[in-house]
Amino acid sequence: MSAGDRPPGARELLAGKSVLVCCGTGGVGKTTVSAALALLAARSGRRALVLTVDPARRLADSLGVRSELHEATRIPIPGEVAPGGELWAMMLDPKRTFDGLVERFAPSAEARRRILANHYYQRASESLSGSQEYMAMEKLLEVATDGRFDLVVLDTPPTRNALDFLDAPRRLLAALEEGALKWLMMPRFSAARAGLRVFGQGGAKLFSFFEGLTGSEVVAGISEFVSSFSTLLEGFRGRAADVQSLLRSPSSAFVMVASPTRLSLSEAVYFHDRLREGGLPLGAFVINRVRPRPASGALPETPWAAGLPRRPPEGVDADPDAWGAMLSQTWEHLREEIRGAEIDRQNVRLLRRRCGDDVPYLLLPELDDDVHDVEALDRLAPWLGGSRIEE
Amino acid sequence: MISLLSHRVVFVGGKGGVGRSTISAALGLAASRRGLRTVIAEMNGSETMADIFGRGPVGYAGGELRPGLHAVSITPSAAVEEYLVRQLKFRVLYNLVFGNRFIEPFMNAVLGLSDLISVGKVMDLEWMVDATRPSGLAWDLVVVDAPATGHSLSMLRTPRTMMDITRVGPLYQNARLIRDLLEDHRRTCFLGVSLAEEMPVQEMSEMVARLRAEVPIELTGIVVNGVRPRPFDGDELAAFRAFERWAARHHGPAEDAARTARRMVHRRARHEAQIRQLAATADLPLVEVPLLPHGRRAEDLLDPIALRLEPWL
Repeated sequence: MSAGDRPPGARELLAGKSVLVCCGTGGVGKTTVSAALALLAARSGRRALVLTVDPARRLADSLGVRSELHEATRIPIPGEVAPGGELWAMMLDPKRTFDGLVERFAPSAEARRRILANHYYQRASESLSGSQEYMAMEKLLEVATDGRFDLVVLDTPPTRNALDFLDAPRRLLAALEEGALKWLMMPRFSAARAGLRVFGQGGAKLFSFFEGLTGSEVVAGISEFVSSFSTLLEGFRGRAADVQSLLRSPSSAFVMVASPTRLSLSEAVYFHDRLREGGLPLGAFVINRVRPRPASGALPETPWAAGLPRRPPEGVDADPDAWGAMLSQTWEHLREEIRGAEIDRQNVRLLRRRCGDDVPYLLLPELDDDVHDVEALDRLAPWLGGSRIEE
Repeated sequence: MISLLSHRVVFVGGKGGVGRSTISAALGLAASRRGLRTVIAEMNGSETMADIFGRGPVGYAGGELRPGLHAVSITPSAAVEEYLVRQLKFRVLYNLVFGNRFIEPFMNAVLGLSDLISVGKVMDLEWMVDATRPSGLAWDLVVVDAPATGHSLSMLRTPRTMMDITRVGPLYQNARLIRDLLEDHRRTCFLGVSLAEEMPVQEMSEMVARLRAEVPIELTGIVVNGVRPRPFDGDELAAFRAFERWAARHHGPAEDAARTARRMVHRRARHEAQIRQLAATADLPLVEVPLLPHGRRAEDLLDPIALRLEPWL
């Protein structure tokens, strides 16, 4: 294949992009693909950061680094790197990011202290679901705009979570703009009264309902938390809007990582449709761990029909029965590999037919070893570069 | 001595992509065949069971997969709505205050309500009454196809978190009941699923350590999924070595076959190393489940797995 008809690959995907958001179900190798994309960018002379929001320590594994990467950490890359190229990695610490936001937007030292000391804030920022997604967005925005990196590759949690994650800024904005916070931030008794005025009977009932549901202490705690937090809202609203425009900007793209199984590809289709609905840009499908086709193509049913010796050939010292059994078993396995390779390609063809050809499809081969160092990531580069597994 | 089916609720958890749903399905099918009326609860609105058993979506209301085996797909928002409507008593009021969608997202985000209520739905299933059955209960066994590691951990911790926050009131009471169920070793247990690969093994070891430290749920054992048997032993292994040397001087099918045989041997060696690692770090019983080609029927895939799980049922 000449350079001219080489299919579009990661270079085309990376060109002009400063944010890539990698999404996909668990176990498809999303972290590995994210790291490989960042490595490719670094090798071509860009300062690339890979940021993971996954609670487990996958990124460090993929890069062969064992430390906790809560600050951006430079990853040494052996071999050839274009001038200026750097690889960085970072893991999200939602609690610290949240604290950072509070510090950034609190109008006074007193307000900052009150919020950070609020028992309820500590819970919300540390252990409750949802805060992680908000903070991932915040961190993405921070590192994508602070000028330290030319490219940020974000490795998100698994798909359905990742959709929550995409919705996070919208949900946050909705909650802010539709007045829930404003309403709740009032001291509880006046809130009940205000509820009467603003929402009529329903509002008052709602308020006492919450009090009944969670206990008055919680409502008081939320009220206190929210009233001190309200001073940050303006800043938060601005940030959430910034995240939305960052994700929609022409320099951002989503990358859908999937494995070539029917199940994983149907998730990919779902995600593709949701992105399209939301008017968000899909940069590429990456289909990971496509089983390779053996070099010699279609094979006869038995090894003997393919010309392999049924008994150990002249000068080869092996038990004849064991030789035959070993070869039969191997042959069965080889034929299974060929069937698997065909199934994978068939599945990818179905995906293509469903989602169209205006998006690049990058097919990565299944590697024989786990990928957990830079050297192994490099082995994915030729395929990311657009040399396709023969279809 | 592991006896999964003596429990009322089995949480099946592990890293994304290790086959939690397949193991959940195999366990559910095996249980239903032993006469236990079983429901598989999928979290986050997944419909994997419908896919595996070849039927349309089961939805939040649930649907039958096989005789005596059902699935429900728990969507957080549907669970929260059901819970709040029950608390509010009147749907009219729910529609009035939640219909305009401004409080619910906020309460969800700030209180982590949806995780709690999703696990609460599992508890509802465990409690569900059916007067027509001798036990008086609708379900003999609830198999929970739990979310991936990180989300599972926060979900299992949620009741305690909520109790710390509220300390009183119906939400506290609800959280306490859920915690009591999760931590009751007679009723509830956790079954891990991993692959014999480095990252899933590491993640499973960490998950087990964190569960031991933070959630006193009963840890039964770990299913190591997708393991291939040792390809060659003894004379066959010697024959493989001889073939490998011979094939190095040949091309075409001989070369392909040698490469395949080498992959089989290496993969088994890697798997064995990872299984030893997992056994050492997690300190739990392990059972190996073979990698199977997907058949046309769910049973083709699930029966051989159920066979391996047999000693743990």
